Amino acid sequence: MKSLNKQHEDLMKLLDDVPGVEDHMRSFEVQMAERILERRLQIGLTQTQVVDIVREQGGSITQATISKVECGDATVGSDTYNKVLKALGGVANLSIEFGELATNSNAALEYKHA
Amino acid sequence: MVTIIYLKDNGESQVANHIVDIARMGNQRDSNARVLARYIRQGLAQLTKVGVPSNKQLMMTSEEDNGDLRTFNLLKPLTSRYPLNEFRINRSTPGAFRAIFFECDYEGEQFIVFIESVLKQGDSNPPEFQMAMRESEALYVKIYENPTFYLGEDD
Repeated sequence: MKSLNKQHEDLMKLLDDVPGVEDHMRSFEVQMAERILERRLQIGLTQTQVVDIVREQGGSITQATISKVECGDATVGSDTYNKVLKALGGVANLSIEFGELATNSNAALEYKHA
Repeated sequence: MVTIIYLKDNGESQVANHIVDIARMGNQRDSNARVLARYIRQGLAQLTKVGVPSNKQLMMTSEEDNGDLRTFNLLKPLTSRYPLNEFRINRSTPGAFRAIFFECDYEGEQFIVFIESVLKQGDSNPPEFQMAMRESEALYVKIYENPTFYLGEDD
């Protein structure tokens, strides 16, 4: 089966090499979209049921907004993320793994310390 | 996690080749191909992670920077061609990437098998998509009759 998986992985790497794709995949909203969709399906909720839970918790949200969250819409605000995450059980722990500094950041640091 | 397969027929994987073409166009500064590459990548990552949910719904809608609608319908059953589904990345402009697939369990593992894809521009039901559906249906029957040949590939 490894060769079947490899074909998909190779294709994903090829797409990652297209300008803008890797930045898109590493963006906050796309990573949140992936985690939230995965969590919602894991606990067996529909988008509409998440709306109901948010309302029960005293908040207000529409199904269209949840759809935007799961689509990785860049305009979604922290208030919306908080409502959705709370409805899905809340965040027990938030771990962020930083990547390498961008080349221009290194240049700025060198300039500052010169 | 599920295993995604790009079905090879006569040694060629049409969907994989199509995605490679989109990536190549994106690398050649085609701005539409670049955006499409992002969304296909995102949609495939999501589908790989969650597989086919029991309610068969994986739809999400958003807006692009210019306000145009963007819809990911990662699992749209083709009701007239059961058990085939569509993986759709819809953009108001220039159109949609539509890939036909089916889902199956083989030796306890879930597989998503992509068969054919088209880039839809304009016509909502273009002849090339109708042809892709017919060809996909025929390939599905071949796989169903001999799954080991298509899915049982060794290292």
